[in-house]
Amino acid sequence: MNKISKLHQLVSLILFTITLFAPKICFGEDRVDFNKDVRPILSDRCFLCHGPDEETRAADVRFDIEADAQDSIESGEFLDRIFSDDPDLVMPKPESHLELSDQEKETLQKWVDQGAQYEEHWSFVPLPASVEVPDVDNEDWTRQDLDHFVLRRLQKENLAPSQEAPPLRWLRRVTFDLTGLPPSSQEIKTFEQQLAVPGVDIEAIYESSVERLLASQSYGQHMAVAWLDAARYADSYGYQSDKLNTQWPYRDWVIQSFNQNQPYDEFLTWQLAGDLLETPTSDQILATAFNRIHRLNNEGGAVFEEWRIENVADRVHTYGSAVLGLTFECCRCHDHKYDPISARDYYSMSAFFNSIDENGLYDRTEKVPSPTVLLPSEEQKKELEENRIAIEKARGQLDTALQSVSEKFNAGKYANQLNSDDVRTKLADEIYRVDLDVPYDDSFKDTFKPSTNDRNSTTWPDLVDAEDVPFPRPVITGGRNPPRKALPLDGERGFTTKKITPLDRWTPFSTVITFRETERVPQRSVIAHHTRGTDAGYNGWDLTIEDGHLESRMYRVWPGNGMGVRTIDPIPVDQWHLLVATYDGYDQVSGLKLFLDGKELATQVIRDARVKSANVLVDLGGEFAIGQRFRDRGLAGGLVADVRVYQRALTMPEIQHLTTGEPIKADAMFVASVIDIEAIEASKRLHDAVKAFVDTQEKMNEVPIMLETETPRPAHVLARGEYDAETSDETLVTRSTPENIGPPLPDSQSADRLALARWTTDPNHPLTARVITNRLWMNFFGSGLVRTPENFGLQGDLPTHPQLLDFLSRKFINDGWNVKNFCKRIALSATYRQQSSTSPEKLATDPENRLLGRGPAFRLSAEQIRDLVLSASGLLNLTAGGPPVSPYQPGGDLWKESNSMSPAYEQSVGKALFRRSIFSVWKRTAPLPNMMAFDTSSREVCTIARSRTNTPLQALVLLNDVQFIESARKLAEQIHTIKDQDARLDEAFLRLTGTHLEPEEADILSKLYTAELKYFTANEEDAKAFLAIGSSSPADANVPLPELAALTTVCQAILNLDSTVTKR
Amino acid sequence: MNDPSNQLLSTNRRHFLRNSSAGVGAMALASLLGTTSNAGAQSAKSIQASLPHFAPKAKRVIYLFQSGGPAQQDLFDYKPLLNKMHGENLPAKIRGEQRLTGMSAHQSSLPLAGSKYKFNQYGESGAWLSELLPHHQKIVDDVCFIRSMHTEAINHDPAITMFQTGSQIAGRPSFGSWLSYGLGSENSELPAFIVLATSGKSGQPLYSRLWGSGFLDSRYQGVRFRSGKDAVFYLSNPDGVCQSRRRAQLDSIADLNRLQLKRELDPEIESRIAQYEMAFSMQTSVPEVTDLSDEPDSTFELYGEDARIPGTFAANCLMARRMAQRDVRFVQLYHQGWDQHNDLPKGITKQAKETDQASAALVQDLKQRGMLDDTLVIWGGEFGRTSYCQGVMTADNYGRDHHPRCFTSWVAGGGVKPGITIGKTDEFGYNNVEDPVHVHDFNATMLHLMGIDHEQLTYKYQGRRFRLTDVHGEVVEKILI
Repeated sequence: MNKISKLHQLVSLILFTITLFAPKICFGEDRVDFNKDVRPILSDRCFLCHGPDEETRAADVRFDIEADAQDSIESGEFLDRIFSDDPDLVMPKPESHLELSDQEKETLQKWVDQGAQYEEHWSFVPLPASVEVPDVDNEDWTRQDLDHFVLRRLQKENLAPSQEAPPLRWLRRVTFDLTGLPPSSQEIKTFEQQLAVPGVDIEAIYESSVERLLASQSYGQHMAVAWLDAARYADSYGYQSDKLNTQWPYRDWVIQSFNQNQPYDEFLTWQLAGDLLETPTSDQILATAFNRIHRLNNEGGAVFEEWRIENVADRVHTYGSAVLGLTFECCRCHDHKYDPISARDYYSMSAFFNSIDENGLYDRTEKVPSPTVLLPSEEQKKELEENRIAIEKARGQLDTALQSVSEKFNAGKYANQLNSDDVRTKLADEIYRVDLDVPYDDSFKDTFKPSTNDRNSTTWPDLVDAEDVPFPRPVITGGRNPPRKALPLDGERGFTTKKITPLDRWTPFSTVITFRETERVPQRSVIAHHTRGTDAGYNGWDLTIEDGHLESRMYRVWPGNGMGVRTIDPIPVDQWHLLVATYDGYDQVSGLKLFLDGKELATQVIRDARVKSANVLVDLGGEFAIGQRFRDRGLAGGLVADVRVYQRALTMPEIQHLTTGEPIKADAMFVASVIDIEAIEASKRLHDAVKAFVDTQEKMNEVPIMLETETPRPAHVLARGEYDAETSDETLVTRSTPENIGPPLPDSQSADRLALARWTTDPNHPLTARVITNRLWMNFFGSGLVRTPENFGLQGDLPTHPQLLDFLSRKFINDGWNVKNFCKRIALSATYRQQSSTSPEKLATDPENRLLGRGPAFRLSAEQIRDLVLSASGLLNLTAGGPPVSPYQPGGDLWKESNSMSPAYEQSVGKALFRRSIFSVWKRTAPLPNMMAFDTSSREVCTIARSRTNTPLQALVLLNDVQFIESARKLAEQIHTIKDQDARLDEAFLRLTGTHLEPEEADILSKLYTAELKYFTANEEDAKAFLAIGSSSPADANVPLPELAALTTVCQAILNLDSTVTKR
Repeated sequence: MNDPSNQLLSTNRRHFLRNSSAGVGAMALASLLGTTSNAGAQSAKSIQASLPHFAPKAKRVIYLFQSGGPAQQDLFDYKPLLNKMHGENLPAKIRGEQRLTGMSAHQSSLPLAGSKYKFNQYGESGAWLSELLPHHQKIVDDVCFIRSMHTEAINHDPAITMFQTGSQIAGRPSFGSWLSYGLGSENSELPAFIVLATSGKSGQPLYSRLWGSGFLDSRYQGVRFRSGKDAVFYLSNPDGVCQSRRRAQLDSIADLNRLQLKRELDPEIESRIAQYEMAFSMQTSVPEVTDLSDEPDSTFELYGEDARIPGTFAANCLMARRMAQRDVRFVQLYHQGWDQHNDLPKGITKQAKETDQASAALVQDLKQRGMLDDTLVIWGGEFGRTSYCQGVMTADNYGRDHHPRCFTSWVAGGGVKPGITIGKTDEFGYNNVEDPVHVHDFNATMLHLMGIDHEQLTYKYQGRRFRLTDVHGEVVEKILI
């Protein structure tokens, strides 16, 4: 019989035994318990049609509310229908596939017989003010209050707890559970020595071990992993081209928060509303990235509003699952089928999260989606402050120079200079001109070309007559004087100029366009622009018209990071205009001006935010263009007669000159701008100072955060969750928390995210503390006291130890939401210290260890396994924090392989290959395969509990992945320095499994070593090839290769053992 | 007999043999051990015990996914009116309220673009095909064309995610995962769900979520096979390690794990030992299925010479047939590059050349081997393309934007009526006018052919019973035999 089928036998036997003995745990006595026995049936089988969702409620009957259910229960119809044989009458309806079992029917019958009483769902009942610790028969066994609850429950089932695990088992367990790392062999030896001292206080040694682990930096690096799963933290945006993001400072903040033992209520408050705290610190603002690290799309053609709504939805869902343990997904489209959350509640919640100045998409890594925070290093902070002072100084100098010019002008001091014809009729600093009077031919190709985007070329329609333009035509060079013409625009075609340097916060410029908008359209149309990027987000400067309103905007990410002005009145339609847009380069929104036909237009500021340069080099765009933009709407129906560009903000006298053709009537501003050398230089110095400031900003880390817009964005109930659903006053919602869950929202403050945070962390909130203590419990025991940690709603599992959960939660809160104390209580408890080994009886009575009659045993996480092996081999690099690193990846470039738009995978070099796994790069659409094999999540959405599988791919990873082979070699090199062969093997075993070798085990490994040595001695080339794997330095040349290769194979074997990869 | 693990092994052999179906593979075995908190009532074991819901027509699926959205007007859906009206604007009443992508929404006009390609009817069924697909002519009487597919998504990422997981938003299990979860494996040496993608293609990306298991256990996710040395990552022994030494090492590992089992009596250890054995046999079975050297020349005549080049669509189609022969439940192929926004003629000609012959060959090959009856072959993309031109149209060049309202997919074998066309679009090829088939309807039908009631293959997660078809989907009875 082959091995697999032998295994089948064992497995099936166990399963068989389980089924034989399963009913032995009896949760119910004669009296049925509503919450435990009845509601799960009602919820699962009846609520779909007779629950909270009004839309789908059948026959106007509902069973989620006692008063509404009474009629059908008292009339007998409830039971009649349940027990009916008639397919037309029986409930649940056969087509629902929700058939009740006989046992379930009986339970319901009993419940009705006993009076059909309802109780509130356990997790919505406020957390009790105190929970009494139960008495138990065997006080000696208990070590912590929590043990009383566990023991009491076991005794109720006539079961006894397991024996205490040997000290080394406990040490390994607690070291993994608190730091994610194994105990080092030195730590193990110290621990053994401490315990070996006669008469020693063992409890004190255990306690000091726990404290040592809680104080280590590794603690936060381990605890952060589960939170980052819940917060769906990753290093790429997800979706489509899946570019890398800049969010790692948030990851480091989470680690630091755990290490500093930040109270959990504060940890949540910062993440939900750090920006709304009084004078928030940079960390408090950074923490709000929690709500920004969801996926973002940058696919061409995506509809902005659709994705903005998607982002808001992700925030609601993540908050719901990660913080409240409730699922909000369902009520996005309709009232919740099971839990008392209506669609209206859902959108009222969404209103907390929708008021930031975002557009819904991102474009490129460099253009961090707004709003953001800059995170300068200390040095950069200093530099920026110096830059700021320099700007102030330059501004002051410019003011003085202008003042002086004004005085001198009034005194007539410039009369001589202003007399020259050149000064009176020629505008200085013109850098560009297209007059569009003759059809395009190749002779123009060095200055401009017809195009639909600035990368391509196209042909033009015929130029049209423009003799009726009432403004002077640009001076014609070369003596030609053809009839005046204009280019008719069709919305697709325009032209790309060449050689105009990009416009930015420090570059003054003027664009002069003679144009006619023949037809008014409500959509925004592009007149001119110097932007890069795609329809997912342009950046640079543009001039557009929307329903007659002109806009001049300079931005890196619109709308949250840019400045712009918009004319208050629409301009007259279908007539020729001479439009001048200027910017003075002084980094203030007031520097953006619009002039029409010689008059300055009244504008309003539409945005005024400036972070970093507006000119980000991305792969598309980068030229000044007229009438078109890649995948944007050009000025369809427009006529353009000529275009001029100046490297300076033109002054009013010059603009009037352009409009009328009359000689320039100089004023002081004109003089300051073109005549007075001191003023011109002062202006230039201010431009340079702005540039220096922007350059410093450009080097800084920038992270998306929450930053409330001045007025909240309205939120509506969206039918079927569709972004374009019809909205009205009826659908408008205000911010509030679900009506039937938790305390009311405190009305003492404005309803914002801070109010939500206060509500969430109210010490009497029924969910927040229960949910997190349950998850912290999971860290130690593998499963929570509630086995559906992601769902505390009506469809979730009931707690196995309800009083214990309440006790732990209340104690946690009273303790100041203290996570480290919580961990310590568990680590020292008798419950946690039990042996995890099992027996057929134990497997039969409690296969899933729901009663906690034995210690935890489960496979380590992907991170723990990799870190364990790196640590045991001495390769682990404990450098903390910073940008993610890229460990070994199989194949070619997995990122590019299926996604040509993705950045390339650049494997780290040297020690950076061996950082802790939490610092490995997390690419959402192409996660590291050796980590995914061990059930890491892709972090595309919030994950509360990973699956924990056992697959052949895991075996292949541990046996053949370069990371693990190299580690085995390094471990072999280290133990080779030990002379005694048995001690060598014991050391390797100790490092990987945390325990000493048993003689029987040593025997197996020795035999393997001998056989391997024989092979590699005979095949030294193989030894050489085997030992060349990995990038770390080779061993000491004096070590014989066959010995080292044989030892490596043995280390690899140990590395693959259940004792290594499983926590027991 | 004091050793309880021996006792476990010996006492109940007969019981086990009676209850385990002969075909249960190690993947299913692993799932029997359900270690997650959700195990129990909804374990794969109990699901698999209730399946199939009725006699299946198809045992396995080969899904030839054409990523990017092939232009139906240039391949399958003949629209002479477009040629007649070439350059004229799409009438507003035809466009209706349909939203457009941001790429053509800003266009000042939506000029209709006729197809450059000649159409003709072929076979007894008289199905229309363009000249781009000459090899398809040979299979028109074996396949069923659905000309009336539709979806909601207008962008690639949500659209392909919708097709493969039944939801536009990430996090749901993929089609293949649902099948692995529901039906288990018929093969103990290869994964139940294998993914192949044409190598060296660019275009719209492929995401691991498309073959991911979502909230199902990760053991149900697709295993990506690659062309080249290691078809499966980490499959080969390291340099310097031969198979006999590896065997010795595995024996030592197994011996040590057995000692651990004696102490701990945890079934997980037993399972781990089994997984190592499975891994060892995969080292033989995977190269065996991916090595095409035992195929006769006639195979390459059928599939085309491209099939000799690892990583081509043709080689992957051939590989898919070899996997189907070994009863791999679900083989998912991807071919990227159908996203012809501009320069459509150049792009689509290349795409058609890469896929036409091998797609047809696969159907013919399966038929010759008598396997088409119980193998379902699916061909299609995530949406179609617009009848109007995107960007500037010239005399011999045009582009087409994404179009979710109607497009063509085809299916063959596995209980599907051969030689029929269902669904009809309007003269403009813009709206469905007959038998619209939504993605959910399509998936419901494919599950039906596998013997699964799409409403009953569910998994309870976060309190809700999820299924591939969400809360929608009607089986398209018309295409069933």
